[in-house]
Amino acid sequence: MTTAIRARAAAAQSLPIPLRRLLRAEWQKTTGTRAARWLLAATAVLTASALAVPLLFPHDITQSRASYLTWAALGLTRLLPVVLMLAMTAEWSQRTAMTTFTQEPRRGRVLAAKILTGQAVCLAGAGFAFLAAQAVVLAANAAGRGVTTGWDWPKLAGFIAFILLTGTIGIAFGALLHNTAVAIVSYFALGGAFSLLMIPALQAAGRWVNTGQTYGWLLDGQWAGHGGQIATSTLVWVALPLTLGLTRTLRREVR
Amino acid sequence: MISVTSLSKHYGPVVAVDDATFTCEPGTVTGFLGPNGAGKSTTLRMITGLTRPDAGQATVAGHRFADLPNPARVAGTLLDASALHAGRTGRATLRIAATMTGMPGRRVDEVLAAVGLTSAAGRRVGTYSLGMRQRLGLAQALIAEPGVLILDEPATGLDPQGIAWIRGLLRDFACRGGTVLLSSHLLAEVQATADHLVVIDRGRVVAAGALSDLLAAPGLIVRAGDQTALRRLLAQHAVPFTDAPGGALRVDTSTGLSADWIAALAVTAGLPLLELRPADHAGLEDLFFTLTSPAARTGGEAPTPEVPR
Repeated sequence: MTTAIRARAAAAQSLPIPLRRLLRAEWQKTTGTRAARWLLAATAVLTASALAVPLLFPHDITQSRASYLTWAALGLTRLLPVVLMLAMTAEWSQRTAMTTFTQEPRRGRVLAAKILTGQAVCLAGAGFAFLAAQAVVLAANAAGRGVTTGWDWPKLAGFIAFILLTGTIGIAFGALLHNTAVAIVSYFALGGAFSLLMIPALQAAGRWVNTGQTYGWLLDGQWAGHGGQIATSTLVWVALPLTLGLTRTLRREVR
Repeated sequence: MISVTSLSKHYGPVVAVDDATFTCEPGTVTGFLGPNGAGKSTTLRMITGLTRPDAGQATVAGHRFADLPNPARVAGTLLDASALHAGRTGRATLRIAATMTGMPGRRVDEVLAAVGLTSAAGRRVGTYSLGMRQRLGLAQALIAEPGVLILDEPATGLDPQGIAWIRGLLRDFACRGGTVLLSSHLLAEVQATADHLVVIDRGRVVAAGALSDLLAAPGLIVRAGDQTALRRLLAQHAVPFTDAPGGALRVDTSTGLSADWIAALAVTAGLPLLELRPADHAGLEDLFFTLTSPAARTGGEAPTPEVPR
């Protein structure tokens, strides 16, 4: 038995943790908590509820597949960023970083896996929102509504990009702030504050930094003329907090 | 095998660990003992790569912990039983550990059974008692079948049966060639579990070695029918001695005196001896209080000295 323990330890030293295992572990972490499950259930309900809006107000809202997709994406992204935020903050708020970073001391790999997993969750969410919208459109047309179902490719690309970027804002806030409550409050408070830039006097600035405006173009499939503005707001809301947050997470002492 | 060499860490002006050096050999359980705030946890965090040392280095199985490709397979760690996600079930917690370390799913059930949490595995960790969290943390440390265990206060929160259980588990682990380093401030627990000891006080290692060596008090207990004659005889031969409990004398053997020599001396003098044996081991508590400073023991504030300055 003596040799057994030593031989095992020696053999295990030479095999690094492959990225696919890190990704699987992060997926299990992101979706495996009670908070995450409630938030995901609420996200499904919100997506379905949002799809009821174009269904119930046919005279106010364009009856097209693109329009239904917009409402599905808006419903989906109310809480989805919070799920991804929790995956980042829980390591510090729940202090699991102590376990995570002793299992994989190369923190950069863990963070890369977290970001990629976040994108995968967003894509899964986009798939769900698309299917939900599709189902509602089919049901509406079966009832004689006459929703137009042409394929609007810029719209579809914008729909996916909108969900990915909105989710990534959540990841970035979690990476930067480390504290669950602070991250959630900051996310909603800053989002609210920036939406004030919609008022006419401030619109000029808002067109560059208010994601409510710039990602609106993205979601509507009108991103073609607004590339610079979408990129600038992404820089402010995603790239900046993510860079600062990753730098902080790589260095922070785990206690 | 754990090797710590000249490890130092300070936080601002506060020295947490000061030039700590010790090793833990395979087949041993090393108790890491010190008052609260002595630097135990900081040292363990430096060994496991969570805290960067200011100077010195620590290796586990010959490598810096952070250089091990899959460290949990080499060294299982339990640094804080409260550092588990309250919103996950026990089983989900271990399943993540199995995924990370590349262990098959059945290992989850094996370690759940090994720590006695099988029936509680489906409950959220938030509903667990501290003792149950310690068990879950230990299961997480054991899941990848490591050869080294690094445990910070693993007995805290366990009931007496739990303490007996963890003691047996760690002894067995060491008997199979594993290396165990566990910190504790529970002296009885360390004395019952560890065979080696590292005592740390205010960041400095003040004693390290085998428990039996550290606790051995050099000396012989000698008793004769005529104690007065014995005292006279020892004094004549310049043998240092003190009074021992029960009317016996305690002979200081640090100068190299042996029991044989004392016996021969008594026989030559025609003095029958009733008792001649090695002195009892000093208790771990005595050792601890001798080695550690009063300031640290009382939680930082030094007691006011009664001697006028």
